[in-house]
Amino acid sequence: MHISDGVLTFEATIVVSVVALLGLIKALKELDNEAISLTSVASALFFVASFIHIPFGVAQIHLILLGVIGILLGWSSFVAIFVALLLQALLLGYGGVVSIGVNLFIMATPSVMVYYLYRIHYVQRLNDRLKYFLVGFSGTFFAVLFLSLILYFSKEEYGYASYTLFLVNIVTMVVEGIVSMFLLLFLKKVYPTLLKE
Amino acid sequence: MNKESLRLINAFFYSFVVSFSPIETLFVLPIVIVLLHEKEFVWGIFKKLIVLNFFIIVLVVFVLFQDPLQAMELFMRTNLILLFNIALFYQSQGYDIARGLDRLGFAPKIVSVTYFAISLIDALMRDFKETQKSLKARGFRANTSLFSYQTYGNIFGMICIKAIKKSHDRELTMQARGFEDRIFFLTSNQLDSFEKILFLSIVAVLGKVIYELLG
Repeated sequence: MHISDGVLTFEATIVVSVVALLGLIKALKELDNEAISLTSVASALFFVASFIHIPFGVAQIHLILLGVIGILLGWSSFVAIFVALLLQALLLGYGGVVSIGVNLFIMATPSVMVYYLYRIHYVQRLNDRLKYFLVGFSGTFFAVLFLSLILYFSKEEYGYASYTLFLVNIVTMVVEGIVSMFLLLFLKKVYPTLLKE
Repeated sequence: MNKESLRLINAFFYSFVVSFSPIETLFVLPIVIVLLHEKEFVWGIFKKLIVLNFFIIVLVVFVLFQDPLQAMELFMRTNLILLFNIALFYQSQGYDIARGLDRLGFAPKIVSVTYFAISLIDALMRDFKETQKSLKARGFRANTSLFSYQTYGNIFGMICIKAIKKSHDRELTMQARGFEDRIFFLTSNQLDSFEKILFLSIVAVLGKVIYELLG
């Protein structure tokens, strides 16, 4: 899901990074001191999720939990994901320090989108299982969609790669949806105040 | 400027130059300097690089069918950056990154979130490993089933709640000490010759690239 340094063109990197930076500035302005601890938890959870492999047939999938982070934090997702991406780039080699803006856009924008979608009255009235499945599914869906679009428009040679990435990740979206559903059902049962519905 | 902040600057400049300029032989110079400095860990660094290449290979293979030369360049470029950054931060525990961000003037909230996140990552990993051990002891084997996914969902939920509680306790302690949104770091490492030489080598690479572009 991460774009490494050296993959995208200069123009694509700059344009997408500027958009991500605007999101990060807005998030920083809205982040109050009380929310710093929850933002750190989400950041750590995003980082740790990349180590945990969920089996799917002979392959393994690692979660990104963008939807879950989105409904917990809203705009602060930009801060949580920025920090996690920076640590992943420097400590694990995932992504990179130059493409961090692009990766931030790919991962944090879906979180904020899920946050707003989750607040729609019609969505709130859905059955819990379906609602939480959609939280996980749509977070990954938008991230993969943005990733594919950025690759597609960055260089002509990435055309086939972008289609294939999208198709291959449909499975990830479904698994992410299912695990997020169980995670959120667990949180609702054990720590109901966390989910601001 | 301290050691940690110059390290971050070095990582950014090297990645930036290699990402957006034609491949040069001189790009290897900063890598050689870092690898000499980290010579005890060279095997570990290359092992990590090989693992990370699985992600890059997929993209390279697709480009290979359309433009083999571009594919080769993409492979070289991404590997040079990866090798440099992995080697540079191989021994990092993460706290040095928070110190570096602080010295570079990043927003105090970002520095605080980075600092708290690093301390939580250790705790989360420990909790996850312990839970994994106890699941193994009970005969749980992860496979493609709803039960496995439910187990993973519950584990994530559990470690999330534990992390929130830990983080909340830490927040209360910090508030008692007068924390608002900024962490003040007591220790700061002075610049050493390695960081300076590395920086000069990156400046040399940048100079060569600019010279080639203008010439």
